[in-house]
Amino acid sequence: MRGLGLTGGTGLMYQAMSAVGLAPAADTPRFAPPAPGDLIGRAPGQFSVTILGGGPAGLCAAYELGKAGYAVTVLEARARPGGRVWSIRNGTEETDLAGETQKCTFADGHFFNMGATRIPQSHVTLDYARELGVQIQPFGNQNANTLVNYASATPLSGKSTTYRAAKADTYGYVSELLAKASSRGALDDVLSADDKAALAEFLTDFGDLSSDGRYLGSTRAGYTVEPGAGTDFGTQVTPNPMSDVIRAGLGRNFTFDFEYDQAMLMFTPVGGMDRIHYAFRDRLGDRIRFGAEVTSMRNTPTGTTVTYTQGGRPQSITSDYLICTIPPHLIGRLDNDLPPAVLTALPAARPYSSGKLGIEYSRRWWETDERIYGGASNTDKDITQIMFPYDHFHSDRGVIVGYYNFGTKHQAFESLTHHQRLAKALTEGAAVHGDKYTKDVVSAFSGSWRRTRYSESAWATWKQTSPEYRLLQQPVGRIYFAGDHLSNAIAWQHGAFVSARAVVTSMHHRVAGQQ
Amino acid sequence: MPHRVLLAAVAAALLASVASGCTAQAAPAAPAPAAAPLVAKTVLPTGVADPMIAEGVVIGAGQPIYQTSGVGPKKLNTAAPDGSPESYIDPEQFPGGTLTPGVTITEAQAMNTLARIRENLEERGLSLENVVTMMVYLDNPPGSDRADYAGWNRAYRQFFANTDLTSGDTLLKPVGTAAPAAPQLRNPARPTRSTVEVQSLAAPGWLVEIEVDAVYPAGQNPR
Repeated sequence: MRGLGLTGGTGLMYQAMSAVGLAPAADTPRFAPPAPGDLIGRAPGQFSVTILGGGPAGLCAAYELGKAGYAVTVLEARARPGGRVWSIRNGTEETDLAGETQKCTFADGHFFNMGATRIPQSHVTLDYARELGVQIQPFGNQNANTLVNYASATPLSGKSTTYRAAKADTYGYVSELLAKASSRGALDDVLSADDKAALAEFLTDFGDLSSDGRYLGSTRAGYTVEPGAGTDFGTQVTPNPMSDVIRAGLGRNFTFDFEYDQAMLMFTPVGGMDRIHYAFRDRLGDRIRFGAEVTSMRNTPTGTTVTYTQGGRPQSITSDYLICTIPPHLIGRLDNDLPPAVLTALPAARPYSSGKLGIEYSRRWWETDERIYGGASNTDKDITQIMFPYDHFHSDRGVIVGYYNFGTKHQAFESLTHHQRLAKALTEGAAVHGDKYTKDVVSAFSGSWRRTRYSESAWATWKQTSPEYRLLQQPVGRIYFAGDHLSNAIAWQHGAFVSARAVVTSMHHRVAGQQ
Repeated sequence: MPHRVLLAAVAAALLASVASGCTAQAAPAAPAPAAAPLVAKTVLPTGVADPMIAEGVVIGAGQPIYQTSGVGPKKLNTAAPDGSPESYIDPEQFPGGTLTPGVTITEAQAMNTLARIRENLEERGLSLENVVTMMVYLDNPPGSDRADYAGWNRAYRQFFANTDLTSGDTLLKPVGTAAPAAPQLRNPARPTRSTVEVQSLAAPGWLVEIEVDAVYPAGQNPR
């Protein structure tokens, strides 16, 4: 296998690995086929690579390079693998940059994911879960039984409506309006008589319209009294008036699960997203050095050198190559000899605010009282959404995510202390789900990525068309950059993996072509 | 001034080494004196739970002090004419460069400036929490014959002096005329501060320029 990697180039190596089940079978990204210039090189075991950061990009790079015989060393400042993939469970302890320490006391087995929490079916993340033997389960991305609640200049302002009722009314009225416009001839310049007939048929179904083309309510909206046996027909939810539904914007979040990376049944590892990264750790063993805080990185005439502190002791490591997965806006803090163009490009990846709060309840009121099993309620309050657990159904307790918000909505919590965050989240959540939201709270844990040491950002915001983005795709001497910020899937593990694989491929071609 | 104190300390150390060199020319070098303990302490008014600024600051030798140049707002709002006061609105703070209700142009420029100082310090391993002294220069906003001190103070509270020293809670502070809310950055620091109005500032459109002194936390040194 090693020989293949050397003589045939990475593409051939990957195909061969794939055939014997070592490498992911995914075709994302396609690895370049061997080029005629590839020569038999030195034994890869003689090449060493230092990888800064033990998050998805660093672990993936180390894992793939390790397969190909490179001597890899991962330097990770934290005591755990995964970076922004961080599952909060009993015993999790963290001191944030403002100096506040929290310790998680959730009941055993209960957790929430502070960072990455769901995986689309198209992502290479699933291939790594398969390859590493990490069990996965479905993740409820959408649930018609959850609620929407928005402020507006209508009687619906601040009132909670089920997603199913909001959808029935919104789709119903939009269908009615379009059917009306079409039947009155307003669209005759673009629709033929046959088109109009087909459209009317679709709209009648899509909006559940009456025979005369009106929306008069629908069983899709659900029942206030469930139908039962015999003549117990139940009581249907009455529709809200058309004008109120439209002006209240009840449909503002319907397109969330239209998006390419959200429009599907999603998946997540059993027991927490960090399971994938602990599986990487198990494969890499002592090639990861935890608690290793990098202080400098430099190219030398023959390789690279990195200094770091571990347990307060200064150390250094030299290697042939280096992969830096440290968040881009933090790299400039290292003692380095990067050229000015690179140093000014790095902060173009702007840090962004996001974070979550996990609330442990001693009662699964969302299941018993509201028949909600997973999914998320949506609101324009600062909490933005309330995510219900996708595991431990019917347990005596559970952990919900009391907010997962972004930008200014998250900043409304970011600078608060933990107990202030919890109080604000409970007040806003109670306005959506009622007073029970404030009762039976056992414990809570919150995090803000801007305030989290070694990350200081939830993810990077910049344009993949920017010159800075393009510049950082290139190595500086023997220093390569990798991470989700250098991919077209920012804030996804997939982005970190494909970036790492691109760098590994590029490095391997360089090594193979060296002699 | 901190610099004078530091210089005096260095001078004293030099004199000491010269003196010892004279008396014991052949002797092995004396062991380096123990590093002077950090003395860098803001002095707050007694018994006030929510002081705006410090009364004074004690700075001693032995610990590095980082003093910024005057920092102004960065030209980030491409929607406004180049060099206009509005071109210095930070779209990350005010999306689209549109000020939220009641936000003054001085307030917006100051928020931009403080975010830049934050980056400036963080790049060097410091944070706004380490700031002990601040000098603020304000130009009048267009149409006014007086600097907008109220707008500046709202911006200041978004980045400084926004914790309750009794309870430890973060204090909610308003941006413009909005209801008080979580500030941009939790920061217990109450630096000494002076604010003056000036006739003009160097960059066209600037209404704000700020310089700060920050002290490295004990055990932490600049790279």
